[in-house]
Amino acid sequence: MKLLKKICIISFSMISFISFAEVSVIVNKGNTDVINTKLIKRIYLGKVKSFPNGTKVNVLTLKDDASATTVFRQSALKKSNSQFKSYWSKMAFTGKGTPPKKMANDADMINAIKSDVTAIGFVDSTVVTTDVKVVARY
Amino acid sequence: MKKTSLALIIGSLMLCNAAQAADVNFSGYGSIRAGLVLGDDHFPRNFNYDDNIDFKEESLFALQVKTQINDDWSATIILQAKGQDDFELEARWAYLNYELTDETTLTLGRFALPYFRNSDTQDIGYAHNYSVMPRSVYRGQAFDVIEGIRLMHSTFIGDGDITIKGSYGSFSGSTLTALGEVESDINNIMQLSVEYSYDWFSIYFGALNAELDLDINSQLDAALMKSLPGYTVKDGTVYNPKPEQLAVYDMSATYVNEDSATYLSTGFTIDYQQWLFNAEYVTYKIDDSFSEQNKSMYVSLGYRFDKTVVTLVHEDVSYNFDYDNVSSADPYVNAFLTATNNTFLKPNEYDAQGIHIRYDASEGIAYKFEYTYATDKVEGEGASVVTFGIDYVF
Repeated sequence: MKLLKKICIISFSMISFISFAEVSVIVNKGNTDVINTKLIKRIYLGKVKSFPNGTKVNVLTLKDDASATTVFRQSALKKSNSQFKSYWSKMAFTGKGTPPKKMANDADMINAIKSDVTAIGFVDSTVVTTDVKVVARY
Repeated sequence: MKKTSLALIIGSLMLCNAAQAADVNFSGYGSIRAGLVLGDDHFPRNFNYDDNIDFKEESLFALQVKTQINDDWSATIILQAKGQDDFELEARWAYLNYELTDETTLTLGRFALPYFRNSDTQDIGYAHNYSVMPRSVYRGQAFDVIEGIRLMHSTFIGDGDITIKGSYGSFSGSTLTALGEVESDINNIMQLSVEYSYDWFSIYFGALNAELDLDINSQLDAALMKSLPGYTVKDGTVYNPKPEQLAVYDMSATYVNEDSATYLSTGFTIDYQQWLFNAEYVTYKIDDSFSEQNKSMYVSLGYRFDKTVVTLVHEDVSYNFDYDNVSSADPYVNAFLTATNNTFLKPNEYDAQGIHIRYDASEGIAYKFEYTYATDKVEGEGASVVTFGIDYVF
């Protein structure tokens, strides 16, 4: 009985962990632009290609199977992974844009943002470091 | 030859760039689809399936190679092999893109012609929830790629955005028409479309005009002389039998010779929570020819369940027969012309109701299933068509 209770607690805490995993959208610390959720959506859908200061955005994403990716696409873009892929395949195969570049993991994402003032990306909020600037949380 | 050399130039440009270790990006899409008609009484014409299972008709593979030459210029080639063309490799897109501004892009080269709203993306099965885009509007357009220029501009209006596309160019090669595969020369293709999208809906208008030459003259002449013994056709003029031998008709009213064709289309989509609604209406006609005004449409309603999308589709093709080329003083010639218009076009009229199911199986892979009941209007006969397939992107 005790074991069952333990299992229950663990699985419930896992469920709540999964559903409440928070994602932070991050940019380089040198980026002084005001970046709101509307702009983030437009950047990730290829509708805006530059930051307000005029520099071209280097758009980064994590792999499709990362939970942060699913959370970000669902909350920020209102799209599932397959809807996101469908959307971008229309854009990419008709010369309208290039899909966000894939980073292998959180560490690569943070390093890429740290070293590129034009980059934007996202990671699970728990792994954010002081090397990058958080502009939005989902 | 013209097409090959264009593709070669762009291909070699990209290879040069690749050799200099530039960023060359490979991606692609494709579909393996099988279909058949249930029963052997009737095979709906616009579906091109019969009672034997066929894996070729709607299968295709495509590979895109893209390289960024510098901040503003990029070169792209899409090589596509379609089952319909016996998987013969074709450079479907081969173009240079120049970003004039963030909002405006100029495309030069060869590209899929956006006749209708989804013409330039219809081959990417993964990009939509149908098995194939409804055939009433999207199957077998006469010339679906052009060589020329395209200007695309997108801008925001309030919370929505508007995209304007304009293209100009030409096409030459063999095309599939109501008379089968014929050589064609299509010039002064001018296309303009406007699309407005807001969060959950979008609306589209498009227009296209082109000057068409289809190599069907001798075929029509021969058909007339065979149907009306004693009549002759010489240099496009029809003469009635001896002894009169009077000129009774000018075939240029039936030929497709530098004739203007206009295509108009409009569409509306709603993507609200789990509901998806999509409708398109198109109409087109080749002036001064045997062609009559085509009116095609489809309307669909879909619902998204987690990884599955179920869509109900209704499609319809009909023509406005006004027989304005049937203008001879000779009733026999008129009877032939009326019969010709009817023979070529009437069998294309149909309506169909279907259910399409998409299941997102894994990353970049979607399974599709379709059941459609199509009724050819002339015969009044219908049949069930079933297709299933896998669409992918990478």
